[in-house]
Amino acid sequence: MKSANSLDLGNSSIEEMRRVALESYGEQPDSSIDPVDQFYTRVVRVTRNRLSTENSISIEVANGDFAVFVLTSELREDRKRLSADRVANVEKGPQLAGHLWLVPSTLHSAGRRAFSGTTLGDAMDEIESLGLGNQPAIAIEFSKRTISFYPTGVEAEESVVRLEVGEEDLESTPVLNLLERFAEKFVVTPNCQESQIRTWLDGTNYIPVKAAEKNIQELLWLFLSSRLIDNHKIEMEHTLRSGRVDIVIRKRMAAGLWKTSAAVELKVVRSFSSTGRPTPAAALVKHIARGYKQIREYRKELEATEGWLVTYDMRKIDARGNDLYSPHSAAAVADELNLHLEALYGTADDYRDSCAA
Amino acid sequence: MLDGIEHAGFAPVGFRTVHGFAYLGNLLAPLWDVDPLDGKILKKGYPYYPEVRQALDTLIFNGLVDLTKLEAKCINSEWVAEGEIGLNYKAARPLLDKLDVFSDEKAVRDFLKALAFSVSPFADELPHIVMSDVTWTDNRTGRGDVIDFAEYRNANYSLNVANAFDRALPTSMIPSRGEKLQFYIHLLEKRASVLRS
Repeated sequence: MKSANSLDLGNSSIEEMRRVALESYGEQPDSSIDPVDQFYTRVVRVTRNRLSTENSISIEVANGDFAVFVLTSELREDRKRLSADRVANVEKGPQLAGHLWLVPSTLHSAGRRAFSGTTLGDAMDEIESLGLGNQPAIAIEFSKRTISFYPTGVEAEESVVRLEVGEEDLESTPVLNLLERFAEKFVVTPNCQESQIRTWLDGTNYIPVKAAEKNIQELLWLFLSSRLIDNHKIEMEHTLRSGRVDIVIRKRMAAGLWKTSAAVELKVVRSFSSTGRPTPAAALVKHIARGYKQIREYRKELEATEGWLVTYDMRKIDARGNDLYSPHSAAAVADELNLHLEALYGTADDYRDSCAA
Repeated sequence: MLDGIEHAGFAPVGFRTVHGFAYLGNLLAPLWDVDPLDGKILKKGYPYYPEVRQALDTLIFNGLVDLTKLEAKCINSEWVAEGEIGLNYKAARPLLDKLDVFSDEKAVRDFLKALAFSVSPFADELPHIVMSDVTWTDNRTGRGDVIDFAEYRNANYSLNVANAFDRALPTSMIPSRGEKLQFYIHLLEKRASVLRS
């Protein structure tokens, strides 16, 4: 009998526990996280697996090139109702293309049903006609290497997020590169958004939506999860003693050996609240100072190689004069923290003017 | 329990799986700040709850639970009625929806869902995996005796192990309670696979 600080561990030991935990870390989705997020990470993993060799891609392309996964909490009932076949192991199982896959968020089993149409548009109509239009869904297009994520179902076209499945590795792709590409593809202007999850309530008047920071965080998590290969674990709202860090990226260096590559704290600065009330400049300075303190502690606690404070600037163009990071620049060098400011524009016109300037 | 199992996608399940699931649920419920429904179990054969069996019979009779298979099976030289069951959502949904109004019931339901998700990769082997449980295999309780892990004693070694995972890992990797659940189930699976080989 061994103990961990007076806990009676029966016939187990800390050594056995450490071995098992490090082996299985990142392998299974965390059962305390949101089922829709789990569903997304599992489908990305399966997709990446199918896109890993020329042979597996050609099998999928030959079978219609697209597949749609629909999340269900009543798999057995739905399978029966829709006369779908039972498939035990989707991750290592048969080709996906040409089929509708009814899955729980674990993806450990599925109901499979062949689409009667030949285009993705037909498939979406079929899903709606089967009464599955308001369940979270993911469409994969293999030859394009893209996934379209419908968090509230295919009926809600406006909430779709389109992402490219990548094979990137943090060892070769710098975090800054990923952050810049994310901003460029998803948030820099309302027009460029590959996602239609809105950041602006009224872009012309620089009024962001209330949940701008949360929406950006979720989009960044989706982006990183689709871009970085499977030996990375990307966590959102990871709980630490010192608080909850927005994004943590870990990398498995070898079996049972993990490195915390980066801790990222996100902030949004704005001229107006979502109700149009002006935000005092002093409050923004305080907001950034708080973010700086947070990331300093988070990085320390996580023993992360890199710590990033990323601020999305949603202020009016004429209010962007003062450098929000200047009070922290010297300390950031000493603390080895990265401060990154990403300017967002409420209209494409403003973005063009800024580029020209 | 069946609602969690249906959500995780491994229904229909055998009776023995349900008993094994109930046993793990009773042991690990405090991880979710939920009280176990039963804090003791007879250490004989495999984890088995007469009350659960009785409840299942009633639920099948009432049509809330679907009996999809029934057969006589010889387990450890003893012939028993074995079958497979799943939740009849059409009948059960109104009741489940009403239960969600009560915070305690909702907490239990959330926990059982999380447990079902953790168990799902090994659902077919659950009856064997449970036999490797840290509390069940502890030799301070002999065969035929009652394991009292949360009734009069506080001898839940399984929960202690699950809770101690944050001490087993580096401080930079503090696990969530969901991960603790995953790790514990993996630990049992590892032990069971060693026994099998």
